[in-house]
Amino acid sequence: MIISATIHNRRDANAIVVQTDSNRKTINIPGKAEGLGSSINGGELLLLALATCFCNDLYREGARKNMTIQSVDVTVSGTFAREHEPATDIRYQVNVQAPAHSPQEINDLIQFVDAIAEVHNTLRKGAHVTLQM
Amino acid sequence: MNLPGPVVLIDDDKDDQAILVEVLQQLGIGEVRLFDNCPDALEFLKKTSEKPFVILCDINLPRMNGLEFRREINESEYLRQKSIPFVFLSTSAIPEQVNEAYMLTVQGFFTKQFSMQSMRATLNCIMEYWLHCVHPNAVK
Repeated sequence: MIISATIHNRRDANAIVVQTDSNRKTINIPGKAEGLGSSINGGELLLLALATCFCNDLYREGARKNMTIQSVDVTVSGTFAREHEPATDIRYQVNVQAPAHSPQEINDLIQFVDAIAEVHNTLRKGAHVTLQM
Repeated sequence: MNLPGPVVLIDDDKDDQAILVEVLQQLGIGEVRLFDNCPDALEFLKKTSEKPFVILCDINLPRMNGLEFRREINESEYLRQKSIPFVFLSTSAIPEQVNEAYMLTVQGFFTKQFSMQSMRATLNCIMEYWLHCVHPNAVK
């Protein structure tokens, strides 16, 4: 699975395209009111990536365990203390509604997804990010 | 389950793809031709010498949705003659889409199940039905 994301930003325009294999989608994120740049910053999108990954993985792994999940809420927070420095203290909270299942079953699923979520593990393990000129 | 031809599966959602392929494997179906868009599936169907057993297609797909894909198949004399059973497998069953699907003479419309167990029961039902059904694509 090859995933890519592209932003084309100019004054008063912010065109974003994401693609997984041949499946291409646009995301509507307004540009900054001031004119240049995206109104949603990269840090927010990074944390959203974690929340989204957990959400999708939870439904997928829930299906594998024959669990019926009604809803998932994920809130991720992190500290970007200074310019040029990486984020620290990234934490997240999860609320899963699955009335047909016991709290233990739901907790086990949450713990399992925490261990296998791909975006989480990418950050935990670190990845090469290479500029191509 | 020993099918006489591969299952053609069209779904753009990677998680759903993974679940559906796993369920098919649990049913003993290893031959799956997987596509994440209809134009590629259409090209495959026009060129392949295989006799696909059944087409399982999502509705809401980018570039060409499942209903448009079915229309393309109906408009092709070659593909019409192939008579491959065409079944929609969608997250939701909106009445307008269900009506339009059957106007396009599909052979079934099923909603995706939340658990693998339920999904397995649904796919097993579809496969068993078409295994027992005599239709032009099944006649040797």
